[in-house]
Order: sequence, then structure tokens, then C-alpha cells
Amino acid sequence: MKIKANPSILFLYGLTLTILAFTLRKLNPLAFSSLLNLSIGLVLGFRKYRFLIAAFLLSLVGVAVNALIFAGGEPVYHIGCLVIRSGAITGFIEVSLRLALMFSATLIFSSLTNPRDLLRSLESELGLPKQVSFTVSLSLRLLKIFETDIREIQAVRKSRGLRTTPITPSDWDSFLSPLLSLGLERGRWIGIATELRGFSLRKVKKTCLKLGFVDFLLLTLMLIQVLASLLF
Amino acid sequence: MQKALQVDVEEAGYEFGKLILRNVHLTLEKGELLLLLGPTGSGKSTFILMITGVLNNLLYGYVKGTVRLFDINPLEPEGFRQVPRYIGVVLQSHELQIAMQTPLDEVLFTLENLGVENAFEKAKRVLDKYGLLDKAEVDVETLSGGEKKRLCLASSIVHEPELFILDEPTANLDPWGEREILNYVLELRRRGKTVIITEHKPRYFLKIADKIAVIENHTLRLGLKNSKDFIYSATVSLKKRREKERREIVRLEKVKFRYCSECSLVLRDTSLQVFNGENVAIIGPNGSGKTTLGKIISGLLKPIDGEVRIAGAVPWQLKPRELLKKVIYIPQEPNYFFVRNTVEEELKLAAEYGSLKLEDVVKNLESWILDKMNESPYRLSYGQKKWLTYIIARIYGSKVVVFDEPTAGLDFQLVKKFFTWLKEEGRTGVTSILLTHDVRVLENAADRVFIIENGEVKEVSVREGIEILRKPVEEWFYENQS
Repeated sequence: MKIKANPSILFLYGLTLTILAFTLRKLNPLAFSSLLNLSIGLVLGFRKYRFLIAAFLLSLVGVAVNALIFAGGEPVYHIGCLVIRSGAITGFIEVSLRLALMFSATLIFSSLTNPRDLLRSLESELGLPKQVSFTVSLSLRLLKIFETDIREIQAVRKSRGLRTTPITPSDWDSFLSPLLSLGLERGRWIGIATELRGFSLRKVKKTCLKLGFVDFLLLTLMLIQVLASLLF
Repeated sequence: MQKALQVDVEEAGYEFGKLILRNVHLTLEKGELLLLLGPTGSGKSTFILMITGVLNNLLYGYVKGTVRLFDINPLEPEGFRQVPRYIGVVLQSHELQIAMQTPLDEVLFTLENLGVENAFEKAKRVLDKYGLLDKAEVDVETLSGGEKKRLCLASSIVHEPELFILDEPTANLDPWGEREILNYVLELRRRGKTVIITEHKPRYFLKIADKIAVIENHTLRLGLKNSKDFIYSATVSLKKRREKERREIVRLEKVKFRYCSECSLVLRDTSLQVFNGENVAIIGPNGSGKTTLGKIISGLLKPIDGEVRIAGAVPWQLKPRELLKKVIYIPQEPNYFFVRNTVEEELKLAAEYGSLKLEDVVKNLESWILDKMNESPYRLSYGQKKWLTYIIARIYGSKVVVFDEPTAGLDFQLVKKFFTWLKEEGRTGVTSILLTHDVRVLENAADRVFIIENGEVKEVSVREGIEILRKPVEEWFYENQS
């Protein structure tokens, strides 16, 4: 069975999670929201967005390295010459939970809607400007393309005798350059094509929000998490 | 007769002081077909952006002069807003213009923008006409190159505009796809629509064009002084295979491949043998598995069964640098290939790996590359980017070079140069594997030809290969002689 939610409610839900990820100061409500949404996100998007999950895990490695190098506090463990300080552990947990919350918002959002429904819903139900609505809806399509781009870039890197997974800053530079360049070129041409297909003439009819069971569930979850963040 | 397009432009470009076009004067009557030719980077796409008003209204470029599109002025903001009602455009990189996730959504997007009534029914009708109705709800990324092109056509045609602009409509298409494009263009003509086509393979359209224009040295001139200047199709000179010093360089034995455990087989029991110095063409329809086979030969994909040897080694067991010495893969999309921020750094990197000095490399380069040494490779035109990837591959000095659609987007001069280059490389023992549906590659460069059909690979003679690729379009010309 294909679960579908109202794209506007999804957008609000994702926006709330992102705000919570940036604003929550205490670890308990942050852990509650992160783990809850990560579970939902993984159930919904595990098959479709494996590359996003891989990217998330890779970013955790970066967080761990960063925490090990820069965090202060009392030494807690010694592994050979490596000293793990208390700040590194708390820092790693906190940043990972924030990232997990944003990542799960992306997974839930992308798994439950499609670009056209999202565009129509954001502009006519939420009343967002059509340019903003289009940009948000296009990002959904670009997720898939992004995955293809990464695969192709990795293949070519291997063929050119370079590491397929970037490790050093120079690797990252050479990995991200084609990705950004393709992204910019794609953005430019999609923009031109969209204008030539009459986007500026697009008229928006305002409609009321139509909510179903999944939408009420999302709104309830959203409320619980906001309350938890205020109470604890 | 009503004028569809009237252009009188003194100068146009992306920024002041760097003109791309000058003294462009053109009139196109309603119902005419204009074929626009010119070398890579000459300004054909800029011309399209200029007449549609995109150049000065969206890209902050400038146009000195006047453009009239039916009864509107596309250079003025209000006229520019009305342009979509009059035109349908399929861009050169058509994959870059798809904005929605399914074909149905993509076609509906145009109709909803323009406020067309009964959009859903119209969208379904057009998808049916373009053979995409059964794929109306699938993810566009699962469509083949030909299907994506058809989708772009469908979404630009669905609102019944008066003028169609097709920027390199046959690029990257197999002959069956080219035949479809020819059919669609002919149908547009029959319905009295005005059409502008830019092409690097103009011979398909020469017979049906009313006007031919060439953009060269920044200027547009009407008429075709010498058609041979723009059509590269040398007489077929089938070469005998080099029998001397034949060494096996690529061997595939009963190779099977699929992308996932639930997916169907892309290649089944594929066997082929290639020798050093050969130019081997692999042909087949869009989506038949040519790129997959090329990636297996390049050691970028591992088959689920069978044996692969490149210069005696199992490619996926090699470290990237060892693999590079044996084989390099040049993708169809050149943007994927670059890993440095300037052209010079790209060449330097390749020279380091290929044990050459940059000075030695630079000596033999074309002047346009020398002019752009400090520029980002991503800022080059499509054809220039492709050519740069070939230069880099040559500097690396790998024994086998796998080219994916090597002539797509190259103008006739670069195509000619590419064929000469292949012959020179062949003489030095370099093997080229050419994944292509361009008949010119077979006519001018291929020593042997393999065809992929339904996951199976078989060798055919070069002459047979040429016939296979020529047949769909030649049949079309025969059927539509009148």
C-alpha cells in the first residue's frame, strides 16, 4: 500500500523538525525526536534512498573526527596515542542527533510526496510564492539525479586512477566540483526551460487544505514533539 | 504570408565587450523550416536564447537590435512573458530540462502553467501519441535516452504552439529514435508549424529544410555554400584488419550482468575478443546495454558471472592507478570527467599519471585550448569539453580507451579530427572501443563491429553494421519522398 500525505502538512512537519534540530538545547527531547523520526524515516525511505543513508553515515564519521580533534573536557579513554575526551563523546552525540533529525525530516518528506503534488499543494493550499514552491518541489526530483551523478563521478574517478570515496580535502574538492558544476548547469537549464514553458504565466488558485488520516497523525506527532521540547 | 520570425540584430552576447553574435539578419515565414548549422561553440544555442528573449531577460546578456516573434517583441519583459504561448523548445541537453518526476507530471506542468483546460485528458492524449502512455506514471529516470527526448518533445508540443525550436534533436539517439524525430518534424511541417532545428548531423534535415543558415565567425549567413563543409560522411573505405602483431587485449567470456538481484539481465553470455590497435564499434538501440558493456570492459562494473581480462588482468582486482594504465572510460557526459579547477590543472594531472611533461603536452594542443588554460573546464562549450576529455585520455596513455557516444555534440571538424586521431592511436597499438549509434563512426573508423540486442552480443561485418544503422532513416526517406 502506498502511503501518501498532504504535501503542505509534510512541508510543515519537515520545517518543524528542522527548527527543532537547530533550537533544542536539552539532550532528552532531542534524542526522543531524532530516534522517533529516524525510525519512521528509515521504514519509509530505506529502499528508495539508500545513498542518502550512506551519505548520512559518512557525515557521522566527519562529526566523530571533528569531535575527537576539537572537543575539550576530561580524558575518558586512551586508545593507543588517541585520547578521547568527555566533550568529544557529548559533542558527537549531540551533533549526530541534530543531523539525524534533519536527515529523517528529509527521508519522511521525500518518501511521502512527489514534485507535482508538492508544487500544487504549497502554492494553492499554503499560499507560498510559486517560485519558492517550485524550488522546493524541484529539490525532490534532484535527489534522484544527485544519486546518479554521484555514481557516475565515482566511476570516472576510478577510471582516472583516483579514490572513489573522497577522504582528503583535495579529494573532496575534486569530487564536489563536478557535482556542483552539474548542479549549476542543471539549475540554469531547468530555469530556462521552465520559463519557456510558461512558468511566469502560471496562475495559482487558492484551495483549502484537505487532510487525511496520515496528515492528522503527522500533526499529532508534530504537536507531541513541540510539547516535549517545551516541557522537558 | 505572415512572418514567424524577424531578426535584425547588430550585436548580442552574454556580457558587454564579449560578443557572440553580430550582424544577424533573418526572416522566417510561417510554416518554414530553418536548419541552423555551425561549428561547436559558434553561437547556435545563443541564437536560440536570443530569439526567445532568454539571453537578455534571464541571463543578463545584451541584444542590440530587434527581434519580432509573430506579433510580440521577446526582448521586452512583457513580450518575453508571452513567448511560451507561441513556442515549444527542446534544448540540446534535454535531460537537463525535465522538471517533474513522471512523464504525466512533466506534460501537465506545461498545460497548468498556461492555464489550458482539460489538461489531464490532453496530457494523456499527447503521451499516447508519443508512445509514453504506458510509462505515464513511472520515474523519468527509468526512461531511456530516446524516451526522454520524446517526453521533452511531448511536453513542448502539448500546448500547440506555432514555432518549434529543436536544439540538436538527434544527438545521442539511435537510428530508430532519429527516425521518430524525423516523423515528428515532418508532421509539424504538414500541420503548417514553423520549425527551427540546429544540428551537427544535418543530412537528415537538408532535404526537408526551406532555409539553411550557418553561424560562423559570430555571423549568421543564409544558404549553404558548400554542403560538404557540414556533412561528414566519407566514402566507406572498409579496412582490412591488421594481422601483424595481433595481441589479445580485451577478452570477455560468457559474461552475465544485471544491476540488482530483482532486475532482469542486461547482458547474457556475452563473449568478445578485441586485439591491440583495433577500433571496435559496439552498436545497438538506446538502452540495449552498450554503456554497461563499456563499463564492464573498463573495470567499473563487475559481472555476476563470466570472465573478463584486460591486457591479461582481471580489471576489478586492480588498484585504480594500475587499472588506468590498462583502460580508461570516457563518459558520454563530459562534465563527469573533470576533477580539477582549470584546464591546465587537468592536463597537468593527466601528464603526471602518463609520465609526461606538461610542456610536451602543450606543444601539440589546439589554440582554443591554449587560450582557455586558466579557465574552468566546466565553462567550455559541450563539444570543447568532450574534446578535452579525449586529449586527457590520450595523455594518460592507457592501452584501451572506451568512448561512450564519442561523436555526440561534436561538429563536423572535430568529428573529422577524431577519426584521424583514432587511426593514429590505432597505429601506436592503442585499442579504442566505441559505444555508438553514429553511422559515421563505422564508415570512417571501425575495424570491427559488435551489435547488442536483447542482452546478447554478436559480431557483424562493418558493412552490415552500417546497413543496420542506416536502414531506419533511409527507409524513412524512401517512404516520405513526396
